[in-house]
Amino acid sequence: MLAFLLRRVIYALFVLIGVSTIVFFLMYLTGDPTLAMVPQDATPQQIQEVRHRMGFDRPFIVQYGLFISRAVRGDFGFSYRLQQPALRVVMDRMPATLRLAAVSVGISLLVAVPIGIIAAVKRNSLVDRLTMIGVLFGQSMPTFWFGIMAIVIVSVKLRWLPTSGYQGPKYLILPGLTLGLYTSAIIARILRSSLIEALGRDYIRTARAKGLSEARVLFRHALRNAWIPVITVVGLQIGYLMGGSIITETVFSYPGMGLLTIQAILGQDMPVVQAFVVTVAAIIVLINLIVDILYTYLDPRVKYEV
Amino acid sequence: MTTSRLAANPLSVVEHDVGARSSRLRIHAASLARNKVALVSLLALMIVVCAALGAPWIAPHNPDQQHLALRLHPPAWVHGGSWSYPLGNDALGRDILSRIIYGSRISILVGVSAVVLQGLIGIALGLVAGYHGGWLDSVIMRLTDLQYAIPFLVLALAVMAALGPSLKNVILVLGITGWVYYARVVRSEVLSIRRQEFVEATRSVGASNTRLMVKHVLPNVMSSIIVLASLQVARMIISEASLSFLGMGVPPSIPSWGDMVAEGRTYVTTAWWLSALPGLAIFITVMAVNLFGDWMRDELDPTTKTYGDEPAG
Repeated sequence: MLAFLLRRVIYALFVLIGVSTIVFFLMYLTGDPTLAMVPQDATPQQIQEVRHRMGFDRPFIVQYGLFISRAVRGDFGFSYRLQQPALRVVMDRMPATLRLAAVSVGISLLVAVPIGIIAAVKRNSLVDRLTMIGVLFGQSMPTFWFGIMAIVIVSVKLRWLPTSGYQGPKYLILPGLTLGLYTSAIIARILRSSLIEALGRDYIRTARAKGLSEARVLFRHALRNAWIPVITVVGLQIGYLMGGSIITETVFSYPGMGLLTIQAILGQDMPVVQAFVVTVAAIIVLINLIVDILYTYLDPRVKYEV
Repeated sequence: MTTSRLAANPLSVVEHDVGARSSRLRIHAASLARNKVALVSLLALMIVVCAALGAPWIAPHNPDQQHLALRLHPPAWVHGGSWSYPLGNDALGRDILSRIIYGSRISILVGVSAVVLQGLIGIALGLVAGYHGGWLDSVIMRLTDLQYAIPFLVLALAVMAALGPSLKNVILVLGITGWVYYARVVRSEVLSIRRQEFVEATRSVGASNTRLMVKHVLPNVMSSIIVLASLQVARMIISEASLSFLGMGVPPSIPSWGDMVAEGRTYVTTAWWLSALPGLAIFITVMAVNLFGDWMRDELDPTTKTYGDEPAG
């Protein structure tokens, strides 16, 4: 297990260096990055000076080496707009985004797990059909549109919840629901199908034959095995949640990394965009590592070869 | 009813390749006619495609024509609306129905071309990885790992930020960032097919690698690819709309659904139709693609069909 962990950690570092490489090339797609860093009225001499100071006049491979060696230490340069280290700017906003992501996963599980279980147990019933329609809606609805419509109906018409910003837990409900919409649909669908499969297995028949109550069969035997695909999906959804947070935070003016990044993108503040991409990749890699470890606890059959 | 007879006894017509193919088409058509949901979604898709192709003839007004007197004019069924502008007018007095009709062009164009592009890249890399194996396989698979570590929208946004918003860039970015799913699917299919006898047999009669891949392996992975591609069309339509909504997609000078939702946001408390209706257009289109894709998956998945006669070689 320890050797497996070590190998995974080293692999994760390689993934992050790879992501940093992609991010480095991104900067080159913008053309000369110096021009984005100097004031509009800078003289050619000033531009040249900045270019030299940043090392943009050095050979490509040297620049790449410099960039990676700085990136590994968490140094992505200064934000053009905020004049602070780009990574710190992103990190300051990270807790807000993680809080939103956690709330949305929580809401998704709260909504999707009971629905998925009922749909699987009462297969082909009205509840099951409604669930499948709901899943389809969740998968087809654009997040930004759902968010705006939620604001119109819940905040503006009904005045139940605040429209935007963040001043307390109440401000997390609508954004959490919006961000969790797609995840709920996926969880409900996966849980339903994996539970249906589990309920058809031999050991369930055995459990029933032993005279166990239906509730015990369901919760102690079937669900235990049906959880594993759900965990996998939640793990895979982290990437979606990080991408979706950009949209959700924009719609609700929620002060997280996503809103910061869209402002950085619109303002051509590349260091912040780069720091954000690498940070998100680090979060995804870390969560997937945790999910891998969780498997061994949930499913004793899983043994990682070294 | 010839179709039902064919469906009942499909083997009776599998004599020539051509005959088998047309009979399969007929079987699919018969199944489509029975499946109301799939039929309705196909109909909805055809309407959207017709709107996209025939926009200049169908749209009642010029989508860019501003009528300041008609600013925020409500849809026909809302108090104060009129049937000359059935879906109302936006903040500049432009006809929303005409803009939605023109906007369908962007969604369809981006959805289809991005999927074709990512399909071509992904299939090629997946075939090479699965068939060639070795270091090439490792490199390609590590690349897919990398892309899995960057959320699709984040990568697309970052590249758009670097390249600048334009229609061509949206198609390029969505096309290039979406190839991983195809590569993974194709690779795993190739790995399972590669060991099968017909591949061995073809190789033993001296077929070249390229011929083997294109002529023999590719047709076998096609149904998986078609199903994946149909789901990807839905994802790409939403992605394009999301990019345009964030101001990083198609420039605002071209009517697009995502941009219309974004523009309407400011007026959402007084004139909800500005955002609601183009968003509804995205929702209905994506749902139709998803439903039709689901039907295709059931049709094409050979494990759930009894008549799934494999094309001979």
